[in-house]
Amino acid sequence: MAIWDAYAYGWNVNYFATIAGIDAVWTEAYPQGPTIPPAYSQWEPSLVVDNSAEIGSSVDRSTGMGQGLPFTFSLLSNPIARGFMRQDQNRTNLDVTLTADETTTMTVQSTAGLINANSYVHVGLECIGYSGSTGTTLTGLTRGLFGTLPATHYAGTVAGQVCDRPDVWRGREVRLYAVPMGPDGVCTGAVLGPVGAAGCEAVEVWRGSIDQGPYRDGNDRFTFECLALDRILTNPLPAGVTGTILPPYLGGPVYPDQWLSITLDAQNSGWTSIGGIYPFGFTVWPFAAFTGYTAIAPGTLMTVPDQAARVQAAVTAKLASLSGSYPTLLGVTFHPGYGSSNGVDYTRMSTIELKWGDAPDSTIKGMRTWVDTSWNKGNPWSTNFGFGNGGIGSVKNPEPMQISGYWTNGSVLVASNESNGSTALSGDGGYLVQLQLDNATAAVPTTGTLIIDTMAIQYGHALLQGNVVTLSTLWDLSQPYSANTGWGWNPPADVTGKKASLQFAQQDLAVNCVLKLLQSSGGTSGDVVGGVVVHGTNDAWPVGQGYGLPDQHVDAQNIQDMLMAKIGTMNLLVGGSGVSFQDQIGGLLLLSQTAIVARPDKTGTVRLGIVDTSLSGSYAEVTIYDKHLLCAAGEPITAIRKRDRVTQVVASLAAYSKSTNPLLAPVKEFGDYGTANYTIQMPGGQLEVGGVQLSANLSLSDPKSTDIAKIEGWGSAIIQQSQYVMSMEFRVVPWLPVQTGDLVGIDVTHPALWDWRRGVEGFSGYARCLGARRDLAGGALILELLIQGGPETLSLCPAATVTAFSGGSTTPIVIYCDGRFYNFFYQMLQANNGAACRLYHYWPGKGTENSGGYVEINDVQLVSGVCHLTVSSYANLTESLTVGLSRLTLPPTPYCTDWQSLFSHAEDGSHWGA
Amino acid sequence: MAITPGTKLVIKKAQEIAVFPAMSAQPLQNALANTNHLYGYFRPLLLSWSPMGSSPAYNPGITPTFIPDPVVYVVPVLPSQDGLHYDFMWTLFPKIAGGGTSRFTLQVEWTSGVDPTVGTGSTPATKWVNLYGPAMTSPLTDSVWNTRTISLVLDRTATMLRFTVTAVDGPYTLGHVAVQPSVITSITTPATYASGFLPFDPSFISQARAPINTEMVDRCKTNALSVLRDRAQCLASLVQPYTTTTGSLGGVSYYPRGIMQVMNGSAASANFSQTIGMAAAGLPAQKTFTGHVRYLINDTAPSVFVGAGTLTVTGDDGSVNQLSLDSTGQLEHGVVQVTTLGNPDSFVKVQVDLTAKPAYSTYLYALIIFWTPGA
Repeated sequence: MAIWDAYAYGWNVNYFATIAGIDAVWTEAYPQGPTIPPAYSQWEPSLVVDNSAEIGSSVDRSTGMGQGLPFTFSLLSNPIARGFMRQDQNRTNLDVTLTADETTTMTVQSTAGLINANSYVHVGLECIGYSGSTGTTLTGLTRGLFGTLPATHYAGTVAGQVCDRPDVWRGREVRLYAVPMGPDGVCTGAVLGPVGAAGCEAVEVWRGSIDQGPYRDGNDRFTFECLALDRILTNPLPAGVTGTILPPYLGGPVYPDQWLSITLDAQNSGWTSIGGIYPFGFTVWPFAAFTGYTAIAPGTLMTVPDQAARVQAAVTAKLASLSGSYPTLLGVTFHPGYGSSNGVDYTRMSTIELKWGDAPDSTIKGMRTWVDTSWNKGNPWSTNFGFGNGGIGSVKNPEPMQISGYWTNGSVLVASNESNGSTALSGDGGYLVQLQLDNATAAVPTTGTLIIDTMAIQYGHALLQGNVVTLSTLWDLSQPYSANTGWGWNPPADVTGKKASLQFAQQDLAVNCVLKLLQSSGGTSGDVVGGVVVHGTNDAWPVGQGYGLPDQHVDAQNIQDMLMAKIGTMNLLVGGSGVSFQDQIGGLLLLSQTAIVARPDKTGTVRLGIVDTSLSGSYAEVTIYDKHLLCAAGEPITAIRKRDRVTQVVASLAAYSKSTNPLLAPVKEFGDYGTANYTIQMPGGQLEVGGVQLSANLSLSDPKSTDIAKIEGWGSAIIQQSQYVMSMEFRVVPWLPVQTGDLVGIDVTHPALWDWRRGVEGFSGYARCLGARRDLAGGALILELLIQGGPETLSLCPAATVTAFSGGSTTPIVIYCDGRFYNFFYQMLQANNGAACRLYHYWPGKGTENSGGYVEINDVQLVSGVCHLTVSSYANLTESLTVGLSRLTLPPTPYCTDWQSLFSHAEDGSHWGA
Repeated sequence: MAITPGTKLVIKKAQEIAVFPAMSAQPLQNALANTNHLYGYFRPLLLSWSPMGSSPAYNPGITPTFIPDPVVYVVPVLPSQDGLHYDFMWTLFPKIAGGGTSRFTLQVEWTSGVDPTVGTGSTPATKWVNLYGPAMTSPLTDSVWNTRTISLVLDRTATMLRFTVTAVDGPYTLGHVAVQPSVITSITTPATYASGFLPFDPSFISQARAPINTEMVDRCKTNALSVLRDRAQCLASLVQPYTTTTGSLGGVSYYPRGIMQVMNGSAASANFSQTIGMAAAGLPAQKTFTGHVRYLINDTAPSVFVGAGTLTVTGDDGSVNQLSLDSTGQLEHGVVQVTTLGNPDSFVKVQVDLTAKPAYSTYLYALIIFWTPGA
C-alpha cells in the first residue's frame, strides 16, 4: 500500500478510527488538510493506538483459518468521548416490532425525553435517524446510520430498548484507518473517507468489533479491546429454527398422481356375480382436482384422517358422476400397521377400511371389492378384497370392509421409486412430528435434521404453516438404514413438549457454500433499506445457516477467483447448528492449502478473502533485500520454528450421496447417507516417527472420483512441501507492500539464514507470507514467512578450504581462508566471548580423514577479502595443512562451543533439509 | 590407505530420502560411499567400434570381411585423467578351411601426438609407444565369435591408439573392439584425483556427533560429476584400416585398402561429395549434447585438403550443428553441440560426408565422437 511509503520519505501516518453507530471520527492528531467523511458530523483528536499490540493477521495452515490479531485503542476522556460513554439519559421500549426494512414509523411506548437535537436514537447496535415524532412514534426513519446495519428489533425484548445514547458497546464494528501526514502535520487527500472515494488517500488497516470496553485504564482514558473480523468464523452457528415438539401423529406427504382403483362386484345370495353393471371398476385420483376439490401440491403433508376424507370424497364424486346405482361410501379409515427395520419397530399405515352404505339393489346379497392403489408409485401390490354384508333386506347396518396391505408406501417402495428415477419421495407412512416454532421464520428447508436432546432424526419433508412446521419421512440417524426395510421412527412417548431444533443441510459448489455460509442470514439477498444493503449478495440460505456478513465484509470476487482456481468444481454438504465455518470449511481450505483471512485488499479496505498458503508459485511482486531489514529492535530475522513435518494426511470425508455411488461402496450399508474415510499418505510410507498426521474433515455432496483424486493430490502436495519448510520472522521497513498470503521474493545475506546449498549466509528464493502484522507505534512490518528449506539448527557446518598459512604445515601460526567465512568465524568468537574456539582440520580424500587434528583460533581478521585465523594452539596435525586441499570445519559436538553446537552435527535431532 | 568401494549402489527407499531423515551420518555416508562405488564400477565404453573390412582381395565393402593379413587401425582416444586401467576387448571370428583353432597376434601402441606416421619409440609425444604385445592369443575356436580381453593402463595424455592384428593360422573377421575402464576394487587415497574425485573415507563422518559440513554434502555431487565427466563415452565411431599406400584406378589416385572412400573421376572438374556414414545415438533425458570429435582423414592429393568432409549432428528437436573436417593425415578435433528434447528417448543423428578432389580419393581412417555428460 502506498500509504506506508510516507515513512520512506520521513513522513508519518495519522491513524483514525470509527465505531459503528457513533457519530464521531476519532483521530490521533488534528487532521489538517482533508475533511472528515461526509457521514459524520464531528471529529475528535483523542485516539491513542500505540498501546495496542501489533495488528494484522496470520494464517493457521493446519486449520485453513486466518487469525486476525486484536486491536486495542483508547480514547482520551474529553467532553465528546464522555458524552458517548455516559449512561443514556432517556430510554423507552419498542411497542411494535421494528422490522429491518421499516423506514416510516417506529412505535415506542413514549417519546418523552427521547427527542434530541441529533435526531437519532440507538436501538441495539443500530443507530436510527428520524425526521418527525409524536408522543409514541418516531417517523421518517433513516436506518443504519454511522456504519450500522438495519436489523429487526423485537418489541418486548431487552434488545428492543430505544435509547438516546449508545447502550451497547460490545459487538460494535471498529475500523482503523491511516492517512499519510507530512512533517507539517498536514494529511494528504481532500477527504478522510470513505476509502476509495475521489480525493481520499486514506486506507483501512484493521477491521473488527469491540470485545471489551469501554473501561477506564487508569490514565483517564476509555479503553477498548477489539477482535478482528475473521474471529467470528470460529463461532458456532446458532440453531436457526427452534421450537417445542407437539404430539406426533400419523400422516405423510401426498401427490396428485397417486391413484386408487376400486372394482365392485355385486353378488347374489349364491355368492355369484349378478352381472349387469357389475363387476364395475373405476379409478380415482384423490389428491388431484375433482369436483369441488382442488389439486394438492405434490408432497403436501396430510394427516391420516385428512387423507381418508379426501379418498372418500374422491370416490363419492366419481360414483356420482356415473350412471347407474352404486352403494354409498360411508367412510374410509386408515389403520396403522407395524414394520421393522433391522430390529427396530416403527409404524406405518398398512390397512385401509372402506365402509359402504346400503346395497343399491335388493338382489344384491353382498359386494366383493378389489382395491388397487398407486401409492406405491408404479409398483402396485397384489389385489385384495373384502365383503360388505349389505344383503337383501338386511343392509341397514353396513360393516367395514378391510383391505389388507400397504396403503401408503412401505419402505420397499423407496428403492423402487428411486430406481425408476422418480424424484418424488414416498415410503412416507408413519408419524409426523410438529414443531411449534419459537420465532416466525420465512422458510424451513424441506430436508434436514431434527435435534431433540441427543436424538438426531433426519426428515425428508417439511410443511410450514404459520409458526408450526410439520416434518415427515423421519429416520433415526442412530439406526442403520436399509433400503429393503425403509424409513421409520416411532417417537418416544415423552417427546411431546420437548425443546428441539432443526439443522439444515445445503448442497452446492464449494465456492458457493463458502460465500453463502459467510453471508446467509435468512434475509433477502441484496435487500436495500434506506440505501443500505442489508443483506449480502449471497444471503441465500435460511436463518441459522450463515454468519450474515454484509458485502462490505466479504471480498466475493477474490473468494470466487481463488476457490475456483484452487478447488474448482466440487460439491459440498454443509449446514447444521452448533458448528462453525471452521468446522465446515476449514478442512477443505487446509487441504487445498488456502485460508480465509481478513486483510486489506487492493481497494484499501479490510475484507475476508481467500489466500494461498502453499509454497507454489514463481512470481513475487515484492522482494525483500538486506536494505529492507530493520535491526533497531534486535535481529531482523529470527527462526520461529520448523514447520511440522507432515508424513500423513487423513481426509475424512462425510459423503452425502446416493447409495449407488461407487465411491461409497465400502459404506453402502448406510444407504443414502454415508461416510467414507480416505487416507492419503506418502507413497509406501506410514506415519513416521517424528512426522505428524494432518487431519481434515469435509463433507462432500455426491462425490466424484475426480474429487477424490483432487483431494489425494492436495494431500500429496502438503506432504511434499512440508518436508522442508520453516517459518522465519522478518522485521522489515513499513513501506513493503506485503500482505498475508502473498508470495514474497527473498534475497538477503543475513547470517541468521545459511544457504547450505551454496555454502553462504543468507537465502535467495521464494517465501509465502503466513502473517503480516504492523507495529502501530513505529510502523515496522513483521512478516512470518514460510521458506523452502532452512535449517532447524542454524545450518550445516562450514568447511573452509585452507588457502594459505604461515608457520609450518603442522605448526601453523595464521591460517587463511576465503573471506566469506569471516562473518561466521567472527560470530563464533564473539559468541564465545573472544575465547579460543576449536576447529577440526581434515583433508578430504586423503588417507584417514579422521586424523583428529585440530587448531584453536583466538582471533579473526578480514584482510583484503581474505579471512585470517590466528592459531593459538593445535594438536594431532598428522595430515599437514595443504593449500587448496585441506579444510577447517567445526569439531564434533563434545568439543564444540555452545554456538558451534547450533550447527548440524550427527544425531543432534535436526533433520536433513529441514 | 586404500578404500574398497562397494560392489553395488545402495539405493535408499523413497521414504528414507523423500521424507528427510534425522541429521546423522546417514544417509550422507551412504551417498558418499555410493560415489566410491561409482569410481570403481562406472565403466562406460571409451571406444566401441566395428571395423570395416580391409583387403580388396577379400570381399571389399562394408560387409565384415575375412582378413588374412596384418591389419592396422589408428583410433583417437580421450582417456580418463586418472590414468585408469582399461579393459581392451577384441571379438574375432576365425574361419579356416577344414576347421580347427586359430591364433592371432595383437599389439596396442599409444601416442600423445597427432601424427600417426611417426615411428616407434619411448617418447609418446613424437613416437608410438608400445602398450601391449605383439603377443599371440590363446587358440580361438573356429567359426564362432571369440573374445579376448586385456587390461592395460592408459596414459591420461594418450591421443591415439594403434591396434595391429595379425592372423597366425588363417583368415578371420574382426567383429568389434571395445575399450572400457576396468573394475577398481581398491581406491587409493592420495587426496584429489586428477579427475576431481575425492575418495571417501567414513572415519570422519562416522565419529560420534561428527560435524555435518558443506564439503561432505557437496562431495556427493562433485564426485559424481567428476567421474561422469572424466570418463568419456564413445557416442559414435567410424573406423577403417589405416594405410598410407596409394594406388591408381582409372587415373584416380586411391587407397587400395580403403573400404569406404570417396573417389573423384580423373575427368571431373569439381569436387565430389558423398555420405559415408550415418548413425543415431540415444541420449536419455539429456537436454543438451556436446560431442568432442576426434578424427583422422587423408586424401591422395598432394596438399592439405581443408573442408574434406562434414560431420552433421542433428538433435531430435531439429537443432543442427555441422563441423567441417579437414584432411591432414593427422589427428584433428572439433566440438559439436546440439539440443534435444530431453525425453527418455531423446537422440541425436550423426552423418559423415567426405569430399574428393578431381582425380583423387579421400579416405577416413577414424572418427570418434566422445560424450562427457554434463560437460
